[in-house]
Amino acid sequence: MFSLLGALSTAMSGLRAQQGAIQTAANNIANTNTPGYARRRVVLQEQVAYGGSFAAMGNGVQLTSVRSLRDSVLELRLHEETQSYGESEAYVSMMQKAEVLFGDADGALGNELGAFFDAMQNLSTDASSVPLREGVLTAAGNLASAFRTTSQQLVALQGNISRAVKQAVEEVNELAPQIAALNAAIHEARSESDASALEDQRTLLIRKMAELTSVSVMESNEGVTLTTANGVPLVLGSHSYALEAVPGANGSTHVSAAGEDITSELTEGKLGGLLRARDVTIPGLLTDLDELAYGFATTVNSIHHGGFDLSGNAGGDFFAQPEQVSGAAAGMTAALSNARQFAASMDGSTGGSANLARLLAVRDTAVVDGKSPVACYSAIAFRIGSELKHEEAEVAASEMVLQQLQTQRDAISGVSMDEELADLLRFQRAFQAAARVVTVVDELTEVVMNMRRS
Amino acid sequence: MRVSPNQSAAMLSAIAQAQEQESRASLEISSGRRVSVPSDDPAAMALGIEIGSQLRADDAYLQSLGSVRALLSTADSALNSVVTDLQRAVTLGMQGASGSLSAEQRRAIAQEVRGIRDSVLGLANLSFRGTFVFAGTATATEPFVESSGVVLYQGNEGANEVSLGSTGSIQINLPGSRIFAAAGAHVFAALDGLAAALEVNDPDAISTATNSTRAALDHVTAERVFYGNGLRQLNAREQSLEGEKLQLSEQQSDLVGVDLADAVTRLLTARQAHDATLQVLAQTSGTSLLDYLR
Repeated sequence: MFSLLGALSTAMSGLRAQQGAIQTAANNIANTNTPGYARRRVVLQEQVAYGGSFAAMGNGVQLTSVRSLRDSVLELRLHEETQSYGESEAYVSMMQKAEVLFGDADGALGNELGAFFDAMQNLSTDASSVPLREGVLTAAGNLASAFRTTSQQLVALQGNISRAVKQAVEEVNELAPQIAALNAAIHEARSESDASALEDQRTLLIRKMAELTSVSVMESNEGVTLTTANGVPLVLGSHSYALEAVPGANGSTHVSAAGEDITSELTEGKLGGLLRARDVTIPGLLTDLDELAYGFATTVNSIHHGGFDLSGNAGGDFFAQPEQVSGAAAGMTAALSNARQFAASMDGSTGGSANLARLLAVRDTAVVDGKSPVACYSAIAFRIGSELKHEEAEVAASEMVLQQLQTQRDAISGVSMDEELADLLRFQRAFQAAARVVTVVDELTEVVMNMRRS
Repeated sequence: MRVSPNQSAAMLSAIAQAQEQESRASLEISSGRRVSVPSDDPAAMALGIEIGSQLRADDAYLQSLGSVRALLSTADSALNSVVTDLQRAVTLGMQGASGSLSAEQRRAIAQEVRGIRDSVLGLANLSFRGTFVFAGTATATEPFVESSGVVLYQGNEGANEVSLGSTGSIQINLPGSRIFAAAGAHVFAALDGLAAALEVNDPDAISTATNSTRAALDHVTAERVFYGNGLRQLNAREQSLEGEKLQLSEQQSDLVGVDLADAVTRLLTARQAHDATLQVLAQTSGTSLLDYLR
């Protein structure tokens, strides 16, 4: 059957649906600048009419749901890229502090090495001169101190990184319960439209988590499950599990999950980058320094033992002889207390400089791996420089990819003000038309009411 | 296809990039260096460190070269005086040998010869910056000491070398024994002999002693060539070291120094990109449907 009142209810369904659509557009506009917000669209459907030969006249419109426009594959790519960006970025920012130690500035180890040989060169024109000998001792002291400072600064940087690791772990532990709480809320919300806002927030928090550490994401009906490096869960449904920052064997902060040390397995995110700098690159640099210090001190000492000092005594240790490679740089000290003890002579005569000439030849002698002292130093500078340059390029590339992914995400999920305004106009007109239908039905009803009087 | 409605994000990152390039170029210009830390250009930095070390070493070699030159020329001029003294002694010996002289005249000549011997002894004990030049490597020991009328050599037979870098090393001294106390050409023995022969008024002995003195003179003259040669070598090496230094500094400035034209061009390009992006940003964010809905 059809009736005027049927038309009224059809018009009313139109008014309701357009109102809902206008509210959705208003919410989109209000959240234009909200991070992580995905624009929403109303899903309109014709209300099905049953029975009768006039069912095709229709029964109005129904607003079935409000949908968030989001590409989950893109979100996943963003998540992965955020992890690798976080890793490189943290690594670069730490290693930039280390590379300045290996330049060619005044006071850098390479320059002090050169200055030591230059002081001996000056002495070679008058091997008995005490002031020139003092010059050699001063240069040796400076060189030893450059070895120690460079190594100490690297160790201090490791300490700073450990503090940053602790902080990152705390941030992870703050995020995990928030995500778990959102999981629970989403699970309870049930209806798709109620969950949208919560899902937007959760996506944003998971992105923050990815920036911090290795984390893989799995969707289940309990919500998302986040697991870290070795499969230990951080978030499982409405439960969250904390990572622990524990002091490791050598005083550096280690990370453990469920009582298991997972430090070496954290390879992504900020934590991954920090740990790579602290546990791989810096120890490598320290070993390089130690090898140079050990090779250099040992070579110089063995030559120095073969000579005689100003008093005719056989030469002692010029640098305190390191017992082993490890720690040689940190323990480097010039051993001679008196300039007269420098063994420049080979024949015991006061003015002889034959042993000094042999010491001078160390400038071009292989002390580590067939490389002269300065070549060793420049090889270290080259290694850290090229590694960092490569990593800086990674950061730039990763930044670009992130930018592109974000643009692609915004192309799907971003709110366009023009689009919303156009929609607003469209729904406004439809609302006005539906309201007009109500007026028309009202007028027609009045006509029916007045039929008998006329 | 729907494009991202948030175009300003991309533009902000372009602006950040332009700013980074601007600050990088300004830093290069103000510091005068293209490479300040290893990661700027690892290969250039590594090579720069080695070249820098070589440059410093060359400076040290040049400084040594100056000291060696002072030492060699001091020794050379001392030996020049010794040669002059010995020439005078030979002349005196020839005068003394001529038959027309009286014993008293010969004694007068002998006295002058003794004076020459003392002067030569002083020259042989020459010290330079507090060390004895003709004592071999025993530079703290006075090399020639008179003991009961005989001059004895107290130094050693050692010689020192000073490295002058890639041009090799140079010997900087001759032991005094080789110059003044060589077998058959002992300077002090010859002079003492001549004086003694003059004092005893024996023309034949004077002749013999004069010949010995002449032999000593010839020997010292021959040995002195070592110092002259050394000084000539120093000049040649100084030139080659200066040349090497010039070449190395050019290479170093090519490697790590700033290419001013390039840096300024990059600064200007980045600034233009910055300006253009700002203009685009200002214009595009001005268009909105709102402007047309009245």
